[in-house]
Amino acid sequence: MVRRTVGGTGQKSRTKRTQNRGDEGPLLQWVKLAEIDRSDELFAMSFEPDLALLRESAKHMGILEPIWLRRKAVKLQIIHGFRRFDVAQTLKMRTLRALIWGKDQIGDRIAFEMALHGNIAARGLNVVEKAMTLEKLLSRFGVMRDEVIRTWLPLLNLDPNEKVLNSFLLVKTFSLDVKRYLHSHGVSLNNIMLLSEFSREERQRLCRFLSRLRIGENVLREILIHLREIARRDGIGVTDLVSNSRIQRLLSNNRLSGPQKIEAVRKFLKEKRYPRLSELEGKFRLCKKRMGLPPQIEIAPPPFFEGDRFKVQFHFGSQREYEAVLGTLNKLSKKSVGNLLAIKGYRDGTV
Amino acid sequence: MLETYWRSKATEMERFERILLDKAVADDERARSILLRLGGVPVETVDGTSHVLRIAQSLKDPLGQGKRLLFLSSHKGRMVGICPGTSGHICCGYRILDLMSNCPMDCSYCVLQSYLNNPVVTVFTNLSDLIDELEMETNRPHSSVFRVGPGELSDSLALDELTRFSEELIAWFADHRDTVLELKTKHSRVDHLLNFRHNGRTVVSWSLNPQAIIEAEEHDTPSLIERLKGARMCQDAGYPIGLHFDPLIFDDYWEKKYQEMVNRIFQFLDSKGVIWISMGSLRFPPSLKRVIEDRFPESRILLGELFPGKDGKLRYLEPIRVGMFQKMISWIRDIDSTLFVYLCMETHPVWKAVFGWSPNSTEGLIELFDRRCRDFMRSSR
Repeated sequence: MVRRTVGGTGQKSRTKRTQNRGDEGPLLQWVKLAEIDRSDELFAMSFEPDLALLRESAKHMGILEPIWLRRKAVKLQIIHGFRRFDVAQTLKMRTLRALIWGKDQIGDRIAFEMALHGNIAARGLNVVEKAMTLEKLLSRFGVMRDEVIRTWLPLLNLDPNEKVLNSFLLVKTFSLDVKRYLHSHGVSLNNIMLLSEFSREERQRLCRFLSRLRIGENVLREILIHLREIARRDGIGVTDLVSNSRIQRLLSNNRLSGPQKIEAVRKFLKEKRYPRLSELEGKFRLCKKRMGLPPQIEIAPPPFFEGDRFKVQFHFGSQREYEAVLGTLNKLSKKSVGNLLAIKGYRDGTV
Repeated sequence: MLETYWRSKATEMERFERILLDKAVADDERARSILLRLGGVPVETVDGTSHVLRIAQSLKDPLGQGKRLLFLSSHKGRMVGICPGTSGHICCGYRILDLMSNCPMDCSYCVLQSYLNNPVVTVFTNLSDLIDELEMETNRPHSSVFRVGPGELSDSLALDELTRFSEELIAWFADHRDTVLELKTKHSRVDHLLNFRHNGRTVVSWSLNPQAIIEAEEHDTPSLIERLKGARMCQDAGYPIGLHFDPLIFDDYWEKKYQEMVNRIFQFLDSKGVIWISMGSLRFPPSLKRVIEDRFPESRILLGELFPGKDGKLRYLEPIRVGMFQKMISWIRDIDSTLFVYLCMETHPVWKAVFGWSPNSTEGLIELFDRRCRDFMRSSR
């Protein structure tokens, strides 16, 4: 692609065009930063990039890779290399090496696709950048939806379907705070899709709430699903739910560690979402407590209280311990066992 | 006369946008009759199920659009099966006639959405093979009543105006002792059944829910009243009637809705002509949850307290189910304490909690059914 370059280490442009080849490749040359129009972000696809590493590297070695530019009427337009340009600027560099295409040499869409491939190959895109990219492909570069789904979603490592595309297009409309949350927490596509189901205000409030808890993806999913389902079932807003005084007290309780706060929030939401199951679990805990079993005996209800089989598990290290465990179990009163078995409150044979 | 009736009704089947005709049945007489009744609907000849699957996969919304495609084919292999039941639960032993799969109605909770590989409404035209198989099955010595129906993978009557399977099936069962054909439906147009000679061996049964649930969850289905009118017509024509309260759907207002429904039903039907009533709570495999969320975002059925049971399917918390069953039975018994009520796909402990006894096993429930069928038919003569 590159026609031919002479030099490339000096401050002045010393490029010589080759006249005997008819290709349309770019020129490699040194350009002044002042000649580049940074405000033109037609091909930009970075969202709040962390430039620290690149800056450190550039301090020692300079900017090694040329940026890609296209000539405009007055200045040069960046196709690929916004981060390198920004670093160069912060390091007060005056020139950068660049591949430069002529004004009519390369169309917008091709230039964007090249930049996209360049970025995918070099660093990959975060979720917000993927959203920006998809939106640009559709609305700025006129790529058809079907082609975006079929070709570009897989390139961005996304499932090629309408729902995924729609979720990402919604991300573009998210507020900056929410985008920052998605980016900084590396939120997964599944959870983004869940978040996209909330209103703009709810999303904003949710992200403020979630930012106070450092949670993994699975717990985030559980919390979002519980919030959504409770709100729908009870006809209340998610904002009201997360503003609940009990949740607020939990979050501001300095005696609780981060993981303890997360557990407390999960418990609160689970009780709200599954009140009857929680009630049964509470009854079970009470019955078990009243039995006063030693720690080496564990008693468990059937999963989700489905069926009538309780499970007793015990451990021992000697004949004496074994006999002690059996003795304890034998001594359990009829009443306490009866209470446990009647936990679901059925009145058998009433019909 | 009947032909005129069929022709007028056939126009109501215009929901089909395309017919996929398996080349294996291109010369089949029943397939040709169906095509005739759907005159005007484009026909595409296809090469077997795999071809249809490829077509289905290319659809944007296979489950929704599949309901507007009709695949006419021939069933290979056995056409009389047995309900697979579900692990750890007591099943009624209903046998299945594989004549159709999928359904033109669109209930949010329908398990077929995740159960069937092929989302296209499919009709197997080789009814004569099925009849041969029935002959063979019923010629074997058997002590149980041979209770069977095409209501497992489709609605028994939704496509009957096109297929006219019921006419031959009802006639066959009318002539065979110790057999019962159960046509399970949500459909309401039953006029064509009324003059068939059934000999009391065909049960026409309705899946019923309160009107509010029909509107919210049972899309493209007749209303409760339309279904009850159909049931009444069949009862007047001497058919034993079955009622299926399945799925029962729980919410804060369920009691009022279901009690009203029970009372309404028996304003239309004579309880003495009801051979059985089944009850089953909402249940579905976890994989269906995603389908419901995608296809029916307004549905509220997923907001209940649903947990996996021994078979992995999600069901309401056991005490919720028991409470619903107990109340339903008390309302039913208030109307007629002799009605035969059973639970569909429930566990032994739930039976015990609801009735105070349990059939203990699928075999036990089949025995109860045998007794009920024989007693009912004896008393109806």
